[in-house]
Amino acid sequence: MNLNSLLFALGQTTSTPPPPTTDQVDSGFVYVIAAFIAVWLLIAVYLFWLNRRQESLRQEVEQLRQEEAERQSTQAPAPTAPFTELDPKLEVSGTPQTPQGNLRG
Amino acid sequence: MARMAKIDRPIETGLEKQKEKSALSAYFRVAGQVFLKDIRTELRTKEIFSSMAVFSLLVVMVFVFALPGKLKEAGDVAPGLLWIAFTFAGVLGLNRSFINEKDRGSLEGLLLAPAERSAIFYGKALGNFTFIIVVELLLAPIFSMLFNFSVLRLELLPVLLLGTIGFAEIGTLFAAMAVNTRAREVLLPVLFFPIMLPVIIAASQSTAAILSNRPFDEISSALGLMFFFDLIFAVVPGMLFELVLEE
Amino acid sequence: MATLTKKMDFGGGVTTGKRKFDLSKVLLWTMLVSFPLTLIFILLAPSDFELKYSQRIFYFHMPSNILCLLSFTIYFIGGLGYWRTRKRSWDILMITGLELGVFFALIGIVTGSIWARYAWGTFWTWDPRLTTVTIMMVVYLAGWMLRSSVEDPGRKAALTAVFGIIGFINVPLVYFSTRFFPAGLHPIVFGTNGAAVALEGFMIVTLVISIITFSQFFVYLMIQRIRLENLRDQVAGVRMALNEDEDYA
Repeated sequence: MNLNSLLFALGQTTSTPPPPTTDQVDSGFVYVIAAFIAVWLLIAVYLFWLNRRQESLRQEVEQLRQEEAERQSTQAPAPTAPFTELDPKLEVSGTPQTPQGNLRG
Repeated sequence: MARMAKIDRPIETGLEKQKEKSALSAYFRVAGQVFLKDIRTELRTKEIFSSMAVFSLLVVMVFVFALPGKLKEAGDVAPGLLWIAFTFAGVLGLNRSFINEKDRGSLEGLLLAPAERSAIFYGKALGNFTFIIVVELLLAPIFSMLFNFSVLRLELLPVLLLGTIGFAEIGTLFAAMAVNTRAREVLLPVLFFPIMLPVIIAASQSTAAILSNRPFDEISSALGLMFFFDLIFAVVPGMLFELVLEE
Repeated sequence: MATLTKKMDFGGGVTTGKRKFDLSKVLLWTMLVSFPLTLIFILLAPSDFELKYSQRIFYFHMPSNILCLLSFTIYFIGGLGYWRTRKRSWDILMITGLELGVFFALIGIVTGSIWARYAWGTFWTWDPRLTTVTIMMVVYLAGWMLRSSVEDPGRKAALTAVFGIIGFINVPLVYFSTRFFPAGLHPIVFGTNGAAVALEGFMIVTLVISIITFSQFFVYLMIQRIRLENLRDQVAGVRMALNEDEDYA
């Protein structure tokens, strides 16, 4: 295990790096570290992006639910409306509807 | 046709056979009618053809001006440039073939016709093939003149045919897909070029081999690849076309 | 099949009911063990005689390429399924395969070209395998653009399916066509098989461990991506319910 080159690679990130010795370039150690960092960067970016999209959708669901709750609290239970006995919230939280799949005219 | 074949019929009667035959001929009639309609419209408006011809001419002229004045070997670049010009002109024509239908509202009419969707596809593809090959045949002599390098060889004809069939098949399918998207004109080349790369590579490499009088053995595998491409994508888009036109 | 992607969600998203067993959380814990383990094995593995230390890049490169191919196969299967059934679940499978495929192709290309810089002295050569992977990635990027430029969900799924099927069939054709393409200035150093590195016992163990780790990560990402799509459905569902309320109010 090439401990010197590992220390060299660690040092590169924190302080001004010493010029790589020919041995380190020859063995390709620097390239391994570069590839490793690149892979981690790509993974981090993708995970971040995935999480951000999920979060914004979660917020949207919460917001819509609140809107719905507000509407139901302000409205008196209207006997004229034909579908009020069907609680839409139950249906939504139990099995999320998938209009995407079956919307074809 | 596939539906007809599945029907269980214990007794062979002449009537059944005739029915099957007429279904088959109806299929071809629809494809033929779509093709003839496109040709007739084009003869009347000359819209697709003129824009393709002028555009491909301009592409060739841009090449002439953009490349260094004295080319050492025109033969090195000519095959590639020829196929770039063909590809660009092809995309332009393919784009118009469905956008025109959509804008005039005639696509809905076509879809309402009691016909197999794949028959519409083959009719359209045949029409597009005709437009592209005519433009290519016109462009080749002009290209030879402007570059002072003759690409007029009879041996090039099979390469041209195989390449253009592939263009028409994939191009027609993707044009029908792109017409229903937001960035329709822009999207077609984005979808079309990467899928067409095998054909473009094989066609330009075999064109180069023919123009520099290399033996036929060198291009036989490239021609074979184009043949396979054309064969596979003659069948698959026909099967998938119903999915593309779904509302 | 209709509920397969629902099951693969493992109770993510905004749920009001009881929490289910969440595989993605389990995977996070197992990866906490397997990532360091992989690193240790990669560091301890013997160096290749010719490629020396740089051969270790292979342990990230090869698993990501395998997973890239797997993702595009998933996309293709999803496309076929959608073509036959028109079910939303197949559509979710398609977009998951498509996005993960592009992601792992990117990892494969980046690690590959860093390695090529060392081994071949250049970041890029047009050798058949590299060209094929690159064209493949461009094809699937185009599919991604196609998907994002369609509004209607049904049409979005249909066009994605058509493009996925055509693109997958095209891959072997691309591979054969790259052989006609002159290889360029840079010779392929290791014969026809660029990645043919002679592996000995310890290296194979390292590679297997690395593949297992990457696969765990792949399954984790798949769950998260499916979850995202299910959330999208949930938003559409709540929104539809709200609109219905408005209609009857």
